[in-house]
Amino acid sequence: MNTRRAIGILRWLLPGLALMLVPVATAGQSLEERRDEYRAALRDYEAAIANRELVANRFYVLLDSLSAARTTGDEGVIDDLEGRVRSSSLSLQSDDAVVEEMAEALQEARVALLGVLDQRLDSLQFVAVTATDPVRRREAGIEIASLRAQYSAVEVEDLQDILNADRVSPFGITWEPRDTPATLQAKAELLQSKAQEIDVEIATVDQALERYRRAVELDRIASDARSTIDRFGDTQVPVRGGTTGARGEQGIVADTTGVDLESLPPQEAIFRLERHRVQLVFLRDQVLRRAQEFLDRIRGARGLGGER
Amino acid sequence: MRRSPLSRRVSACMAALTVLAVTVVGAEAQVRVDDLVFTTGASIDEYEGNLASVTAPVVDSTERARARSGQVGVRGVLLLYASGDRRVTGSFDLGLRQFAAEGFSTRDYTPRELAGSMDLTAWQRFGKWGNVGVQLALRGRRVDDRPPMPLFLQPGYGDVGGSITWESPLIDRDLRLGLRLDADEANYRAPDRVSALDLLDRNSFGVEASAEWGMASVVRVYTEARRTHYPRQSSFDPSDPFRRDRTYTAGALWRYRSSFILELGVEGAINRSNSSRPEYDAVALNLLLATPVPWWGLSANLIGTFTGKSYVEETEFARLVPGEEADNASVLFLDIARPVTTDLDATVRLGWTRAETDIGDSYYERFGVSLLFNYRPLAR
Repeated sequence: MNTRRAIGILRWLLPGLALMLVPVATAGQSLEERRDEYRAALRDYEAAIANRELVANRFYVLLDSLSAARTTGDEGVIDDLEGRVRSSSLSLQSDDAVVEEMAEALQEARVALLGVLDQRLDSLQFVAVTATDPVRRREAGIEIASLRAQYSAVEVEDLQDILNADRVSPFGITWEPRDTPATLQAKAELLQSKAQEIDVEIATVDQALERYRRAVELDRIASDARSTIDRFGDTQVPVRGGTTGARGEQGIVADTTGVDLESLPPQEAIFRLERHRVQLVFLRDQVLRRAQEFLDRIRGARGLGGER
Repeated sequence: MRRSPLSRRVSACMAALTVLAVTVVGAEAQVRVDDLVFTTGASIDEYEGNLASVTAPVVDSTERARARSGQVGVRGVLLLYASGDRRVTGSFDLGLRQFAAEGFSTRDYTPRELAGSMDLTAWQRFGKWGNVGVQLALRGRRVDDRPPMPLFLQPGYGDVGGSITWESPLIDRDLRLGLRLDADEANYRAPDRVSALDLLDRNSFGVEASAEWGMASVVRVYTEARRTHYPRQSSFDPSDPFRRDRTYTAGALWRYRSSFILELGVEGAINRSNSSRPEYDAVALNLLLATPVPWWGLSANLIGTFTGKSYVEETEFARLVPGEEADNASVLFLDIARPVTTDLDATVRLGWTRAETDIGDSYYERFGVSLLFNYRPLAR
């Protein structure tokens, strides 16, 4: 009887002790502190990315202008642009280093936060499993759900960060054993959302391509008209020495669609846009395939009746 | 058969161009075909004007003649060499046009034109001193069974020319100055029955200064002085027996590009000579408009030249002024074109020409409609 009583007391005490020990275990690394560190690291990283994008945009505009200047052989402009490209390149390298540093800090903060969340979840799950008091089990369950939501949110921000950085590799967004159906759903929806954004970008590229193709077509048809008329001297009766200077005969950039491509010959702009489009289509297909994999996993989990 | 001095020069230039091209190609093996276009087409033309021409073999009494014609042609642009400071390009253009002309009182004619040209151009950059370009060019045409007026076809000729062009670096990021020296020599083919064609032989040299500014909207102004010598034409001045002309030209061209292309040009010329016959003042307006039209993916292309000419002295004699007719030919072409596939364009062309003949102040007119196909085998 005494033994049974002692066991009964322990069944009450151990979960209580475990629950009390949870704050003790995380005393030096409280959840709030880790969360604050993570938020600060995320803000720093986003600021570094924004700054880097600004510099990168300037750099690519300069590169395109330099390419156009080399095509037309504008020596003075080439010299000027080469200097500015070198300077911008150094700034970009410096900003890349800052972004890398911030990304590492963010990753550390993220891992630390997820670690604390993991510990807290493990403790609570122990309480939820072992506690005989239904109130205590319910409180532990509510807190578990809350922490899982926080966990998912951190992972989702991680995904958004990857996607927004335009370095999307669907293979980098992987299934984790601790993924709940809600997490999987969030990952799938994010990927689908990104696929829609890529579709919009593809449509924009298609519109630009159409404009450039029309410009090239116009150049081609105008050139054909001139050459077929001049071939048999139908505009000159009879032939007289021409006065058109060599530069006057050069093709000139036709229709434009944007700042970066504006200074490029239409054929070159089309080549770049087509290459960009192929990359976008590939990326969209990969993103959708990965999203489908997450959805399949949700269905599989539900089919087995095992929802975490 | 004895070859003319020009023929020998043309052959020598052809050989030089070929050797130069082969040398360049062999040295760097960077040849790239930038454009290759095969053209075929058919036309129906009507010519009006009962005019004599001292350069045509016969005179016919008809005032109106018709011609059906078919043509084939090929042209291409080759990038032979390109480096940071140097660029060498070559281009060629060959065409064959066969007519079936009718409506003449003497007989029907089947004239055949064979025309060709090729040139080699090299550009070298000299840093802050600008760019220098050298161009060698050959042109020639042959006409068999050349009909009488009013079906005017240029006589056959051979022409060899060269030029040296200097371009300044960009000034204030926008302005570019240019200077061009050129010389050419033309020899007209003279069958036994039409020895007057020999009178068209000429050689000339000229210097042109130009300024150009703008990117999407480009303005180019230029002025040129040219001396032309006609070694077979008399000036009727015993102290200076052969005709020598001095031509002063000034012009401006505005070129605007957006979703359409518009070019407008005006050019004035003053021709003075040691012979009073060919002295004249002329003006020409040039137009080019290329624009998409909103139906069926069509594009419209309007090319026009409108000229006026005033002779300094009246004369009752024929004004044999070879080369000047170009200054006084008004032409208008309207092309409606559409891509059929990525490598094939189809064009319907309406054309009108009003040009002065060898008889001063006498004109013939041509109206025509053509269907043309341009095929680019290398198009992506």
